[in-house]
Amino acid sequence: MRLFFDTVPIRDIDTRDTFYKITTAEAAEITGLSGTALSASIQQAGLLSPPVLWRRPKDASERLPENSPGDSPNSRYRVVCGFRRIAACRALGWERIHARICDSAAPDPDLLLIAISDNAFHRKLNLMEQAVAAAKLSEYFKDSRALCRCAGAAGLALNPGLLEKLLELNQADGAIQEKVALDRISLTIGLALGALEKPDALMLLEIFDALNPTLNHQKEILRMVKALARLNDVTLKAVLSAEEIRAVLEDTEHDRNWKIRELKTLLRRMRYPEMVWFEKQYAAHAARLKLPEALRLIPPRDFEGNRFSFQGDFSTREDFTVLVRALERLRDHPDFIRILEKDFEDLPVK
Amino acid sequence: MKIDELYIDASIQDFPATQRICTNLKGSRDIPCHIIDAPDEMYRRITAAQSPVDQGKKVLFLTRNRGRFIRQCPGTEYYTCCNYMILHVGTFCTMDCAYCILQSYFHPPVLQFFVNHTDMTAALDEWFAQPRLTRIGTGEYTDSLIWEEVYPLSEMLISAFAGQHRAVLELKTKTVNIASLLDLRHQRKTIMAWSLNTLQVVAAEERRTAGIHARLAAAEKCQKAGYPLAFHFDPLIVYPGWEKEYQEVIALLFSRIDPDNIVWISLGSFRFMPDLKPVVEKRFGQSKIVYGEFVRGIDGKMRYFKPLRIRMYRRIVEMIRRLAPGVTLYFCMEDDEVWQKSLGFLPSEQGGLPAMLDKAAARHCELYI
Repeated sequence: MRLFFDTVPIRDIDTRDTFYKITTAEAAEITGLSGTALSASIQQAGLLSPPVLWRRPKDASERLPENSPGDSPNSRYRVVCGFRRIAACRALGWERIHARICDSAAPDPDLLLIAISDNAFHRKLNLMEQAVAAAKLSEYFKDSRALCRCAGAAGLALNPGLLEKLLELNQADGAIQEKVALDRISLTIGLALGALEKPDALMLLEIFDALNPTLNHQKEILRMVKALARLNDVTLKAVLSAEEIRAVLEDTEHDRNWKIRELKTLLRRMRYPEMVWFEKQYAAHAARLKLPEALRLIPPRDFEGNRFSFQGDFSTREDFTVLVRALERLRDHPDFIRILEKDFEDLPVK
Repeated sequence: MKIDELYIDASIQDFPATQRICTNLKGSRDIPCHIIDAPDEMYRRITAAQSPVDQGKKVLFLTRNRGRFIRQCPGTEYYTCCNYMILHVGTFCTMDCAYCILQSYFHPPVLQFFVNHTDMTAALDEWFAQPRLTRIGTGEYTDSLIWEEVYPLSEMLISAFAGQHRAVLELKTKTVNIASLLDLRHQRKTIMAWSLNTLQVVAAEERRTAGIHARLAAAEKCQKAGYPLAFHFDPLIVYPGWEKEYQEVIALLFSRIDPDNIVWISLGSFRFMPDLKPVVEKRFGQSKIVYGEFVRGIDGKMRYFKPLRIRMYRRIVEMIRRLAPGVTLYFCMEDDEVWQKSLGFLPSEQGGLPAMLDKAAARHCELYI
C-alpha cells in the first residue's frame, strides 16, 4: 500500500461515507471532547495529526448521491480516519487540509486496520466501537483467529469468544448499543437484553439506566424477571408492570438504593414465595428469643443442613456471662425449639 | 432405536455382539458405519455440533468397557445413599427427558454400548461368588431396556442372575420393551422397575418415552410373568396441581399392580447440577422445571427448598401408604431430617438404608448368602 502526504481541498472529501468509521457518537461524550473544543485546539496548535484519506479511483463507477450536504457530489476522497478533525477544520472555515493519502489500490481490510489503529492507540475504544470494528473486519476474515491476530496488531485486543459477543452486540437494538457504549450497562447485560423481545429489553434497559444497579444486581433482577415471566406465561414487561413494582419504580420519595433494594425484595417474594415465607417465620421466632445484641444465631445456609451456630462478641468476663446466661435461657424456649425443628407454619394456600 | 451413524471400535469389530447389532441395525435401513481406532474425532464432531446432546443421541458407538463393569453408584456423603451397584453396560439414552442429568454428565454425550460381554460375565461371576447381598442395576447411566431393540442384553443378564442367589438385578426403564423377557427363567432375581411421573410431566418433559398407562400395562405383564417389581417416583416435580396429579398416578399404579409384589418404591425430588439449567433452557424452551424454588444442596446440586421437599414427600408418602401400607418406601439422596419428617423414621433405626433395601430384596427375590 502506498501512502503519501498531500494537501487536499476539504470539499473533495466525502465525510458522508462512513465505510471505515468506527468512532461512535458516545465516544465524544465519554472523552468529554466536543467538536468545538477540538476546533479551538486546532486553531491554537494547528492540525497535529493529519487525517488519513483513501483516494477513489478516477473512473470509480460508484458516485455519491446528488446534493450531499457539505460534500461535493464528486468527492475524490473517502475518510479512513479523522472524521472529527475534518469536521473541526471545516467549522474553522479551512478550505484545504493536510492529510495522509492512501492510493486507490489499497485493500479495504488494511485501511480498516489503519482506522482501528488510529483510534485504539490514542484512547480506549468503547465496546460499541470495538463491535463496529469487529463487524467490519469480519467481512474480510473468515477465520476468527486470523481476525483476532490482525486486530490485536492494530491495538484492538480480541479473542474468538469476545469477537462472537461483539458481533452479537453489533446486531442489538440501538438503545442497548448506546447504553453499552456509555458503559451504563455491561456487555453481558447488553447481550442478555439483546436476546429479549424488544419491549421487554427496553423496559429493563430503562430501569437499569435509571437505577444503575451493580452488575450482580442487574443479573439477579434479570434472572428473576425472566423466571417469573416463564413461570407465569407472561412477558417480562408484564412482570415489571405489576402494581407493586410500578409503585417502587415510580416512587419519588426515595433514592435509587432504596428502589433497588425494594425491587429485589418484591421480585424475590414473587419468585421464591416458600423461601421468603419461611425466612419470615424464622425471623419472627428468632426475634422472640430476645438475644442480646452481641449474640447472633446463624441458621444453616438456605435451611438445607441442620447445623445452627452462634456467634458471640465479648471482651470481659461480664460480657461473657451475659452471653452464657442468654444461651442457657434458650434451652427450653419454645421459639428456640421450633427454630431447631424448623417447625413453622406452611405458606397459606391462596 | 433410531441411529443415524454407527461407529465401531476396531478392536471389537469381530465380537459376536457387534455383528449382531450391526445386522439388527442395518436390517431396517442403511446406516453409515465407521470402524475407528480411536474415538477422538467422533467425540470432536459431536462436541462441535450445534446441539451435542441431540447429536449424541443419534450416534451409536460400539466399544469395550475399559473400566470396571460393576461400580458403586455415585452417592455423596451428606445425603443418605442406598449403596446401589451399577452394572455399566452402556451410556446415554435414545429417549429425551428435560430433567435428565445425563445431558450434562457425559462430555460429550454419546450413546455407547459395551460389547465385551465375556469380561462382563466374568465380572458378574466374580461378584456373585462374594458372600454378601447386593442390588445391581443397569439404569443409572442409560435406560435398562432401550438396548433390547438391537441386542438381547437383558435376556443374557436375567439368565445370569437367575443362576445365583446373592444379588438382584434391577432393570429400570421408561420403555415397554418387555416382550422378549416375559418367558425367561428369572427365578425372581430380576426386578422390573419403571420410573413414574404425572401424566403432565410425562407429556411435557419426557420425549419418546412410553406413556404411563403403557408402562403400567407392561409392569402388569411382568407381574403376571412372576417378576418382582419396583417403581421410582423420581424426579418429583413441583408445579401447580402436582398433588392431584401425583395422586392420580399413584391410584393408577395400585389399580393395576399388587403392592405385595413391589420390592420398593423410591422417591426423589428433582435435583440437578447447576450446569444442567442452561441445557434445559436451550433444549426444552417451554419447560418450567428449572424455575422451581431451588437452593444449592450440600452436594452442590440444586434441590427444592427443604421445607417444600418435605411437604411434597409427606403428601406422596400419605398417598402411597393409604393404598399400600406395607410397601418399602425410600428416598434417594435425602438426609435424616427429611426421612424423619416425611417417613417418620430414620434409616439407621432399620440398620441403615442399604440393609433396609437388602432386606426387601431378600424377602421378595428369595436372596440369601
